[in-house]
Amino acid sequence: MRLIDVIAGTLLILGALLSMMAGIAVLRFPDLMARTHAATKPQVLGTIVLMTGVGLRIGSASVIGLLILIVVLQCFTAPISAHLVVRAAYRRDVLGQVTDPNDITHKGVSPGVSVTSAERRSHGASRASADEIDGPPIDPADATGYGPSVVSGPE
Amino acid sequence: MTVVYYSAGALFGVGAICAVLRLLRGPSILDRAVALDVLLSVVVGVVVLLAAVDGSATTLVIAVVVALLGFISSSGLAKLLPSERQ
Repeated sequence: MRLIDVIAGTLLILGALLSMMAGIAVLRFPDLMARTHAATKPQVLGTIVLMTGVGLRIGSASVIGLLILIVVLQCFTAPISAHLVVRAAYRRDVLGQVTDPNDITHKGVSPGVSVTSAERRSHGASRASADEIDGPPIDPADATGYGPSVVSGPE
Repeated sequence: MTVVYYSAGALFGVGAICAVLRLLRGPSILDRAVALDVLLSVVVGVVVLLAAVDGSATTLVIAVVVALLGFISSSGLAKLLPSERQ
């Protein structure tokens, strides 16, 4: 077993470990922004580490070209897709909401998150909460969805 | 080297199982998009690992296609969601 095989095996294990950490973080973190943050960093670094390991292991020119192509594609597309997902969450106004509070006990850990979600739930009931995105978004208060001026009838 | 391959496969399997659980459970569709992105990057890693096991370059094209597919799926989903802000 040569030295280059040891380095390649270490890099392969490291890349797989980063992918496992991304999966666990996506499962365990409480809201969308934390999940996106934890999911996109191993997509870039884990890909670079893993492709370096495979390139050291195989080492022919066509393989290294394809590996460089994959690394460049991931480095360009992973931040763009994460930015688009978070921007869509911002535009739907669901950004700071804890969508799965049973996974991590967030009492005392991040009080701002629970305060903002409670405020938002108290003052704007017609805003779409995170559970209503793929459920029925119709609120019985304004069933038309166009505000009270349409419901109010004749002038 | 076989130990390295099997343990890397086990780590990829744990990551994929966690991403699939979030994909099934995730309350909003954007959570599912993030979980699908992670799952497809795990698939890219597994395909590249299989190429390292084989020592051949034929499966690496699949990795390129899957990487592009992950980008197109999550960004298209995020772009085409209707925004609810009034």
